[in-house]
Amino acid sequence: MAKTRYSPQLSDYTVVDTDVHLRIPKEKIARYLDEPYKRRVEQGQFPTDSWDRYKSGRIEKGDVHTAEGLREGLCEQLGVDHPVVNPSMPWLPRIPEGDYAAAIATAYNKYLLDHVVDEDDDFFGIAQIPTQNVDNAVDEIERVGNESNIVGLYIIPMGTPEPLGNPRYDPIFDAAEKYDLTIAFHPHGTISAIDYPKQYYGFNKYISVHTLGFVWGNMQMIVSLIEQGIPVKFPNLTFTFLEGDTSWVPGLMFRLNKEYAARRDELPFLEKNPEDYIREFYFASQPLGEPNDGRDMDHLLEALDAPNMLMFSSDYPHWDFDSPNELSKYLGKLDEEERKQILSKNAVDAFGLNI
Amino acid sequence: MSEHIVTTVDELNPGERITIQIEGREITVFNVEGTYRAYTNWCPHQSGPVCEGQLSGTWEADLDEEKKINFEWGREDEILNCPWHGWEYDVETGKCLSREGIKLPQHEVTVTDGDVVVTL
Repeated sequence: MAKTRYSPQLSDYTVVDTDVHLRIPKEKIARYLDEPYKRRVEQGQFPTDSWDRYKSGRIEKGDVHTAEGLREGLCEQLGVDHPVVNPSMPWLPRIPEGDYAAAIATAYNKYLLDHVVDEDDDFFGIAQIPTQNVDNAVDEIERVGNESNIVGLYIIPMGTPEPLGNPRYDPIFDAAEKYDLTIAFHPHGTISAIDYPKQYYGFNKYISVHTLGFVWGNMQMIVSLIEQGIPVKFPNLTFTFLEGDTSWVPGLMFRLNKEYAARRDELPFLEKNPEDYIREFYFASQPLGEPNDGRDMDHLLEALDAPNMLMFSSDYPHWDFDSPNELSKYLGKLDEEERKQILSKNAVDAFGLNI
Repeated sequence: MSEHIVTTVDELNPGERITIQIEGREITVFNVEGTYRAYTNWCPHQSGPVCEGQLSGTWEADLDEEKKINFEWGREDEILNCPWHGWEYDVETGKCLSREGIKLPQHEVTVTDGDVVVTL
């Protein structure tokens, strides 16, 4: 059995949390909508699914949707100094109507600014972008691009007919680069798994779709970026990946290197190895896997080069959030500077935070 | 070792619990069908307030002769669910159902002249 691990006191460090969600009541979103969408949301017609995430109340579902709520529940309770908040409408890609999806995204982003980001100088925001219609996506980027505390774009890399690296979506990356906004890809467990009976070819428990969906979402997004040369086309864009787990990232880098070494002529526009591109991306720490032996996670974080690529995140207030206590189990072996990089400096670099 | 009176038997009925601060720790005493159990309000997972969680049943399952898995919901009120992530603990033993070797920090509880006493 592994010895007790040393976890440093995180109150000694500045902590930036790169994945913070809101749970905004429908009636508050409705206020930011015009008719007929306003009445549609007010009457409760809102996309969701039937999975029992909170185990029928056995996991507490916090109703956090204000700056004060985050200040109390996240900053004071969990020791976070600077949340980077996304408004998180998780089922956005599942809305088939492009204009409705765009209106919802705009409403969420307006709420984020009015009630959270503009209410607390320590808070930053990333704006959610719809992917059904590229023109709508670009319009929203143009609308928020000059907001001083909007530091990035929250994009769910799933639910579209083709992966987001496809040239059809280039205008999104172009607009992001123009406004110097970091891309934050954030998967969602059930976008690819529509409710019963079409569920990942027959998985019928939430543990299965949740385990796979988040990993799959970010994994296929990385492959698409490489396949389509997005970092080559948009060299000034920074890419971050939230909530996808990180333990598989080294494996994917090494696999893509192997593939590229043999099949370079499929991607002749790449100027360096896939690993070299991926090592310029940033990865949020939540959800941190929980091995039987913590030393295995030490090895995985070392292979990832965590001090240069990892940013702390909690996913607060979702059911599978990580308290900073979880990450701190693996910071004991790192030096002061490496801990600071993971807890704040990498996020400052990735999102251009003014702190 | 120190003894602390936390409540009386009249004030803690079966199914109820009380949380108090003792020597800087939050300790919760449960009345589990007439038996008392005391645990530190601290989840070994990520330090969540486990003793504030719901008591519920849970799913159990067995394999029949035809190798079919049969699910049955049972053990109502025996399972303490940590409100942070749903880790399940047997409220009578403090043992975690999903992680072998993990238990809630437990403390001795006795009754003396109608007082419920926790020993730390």
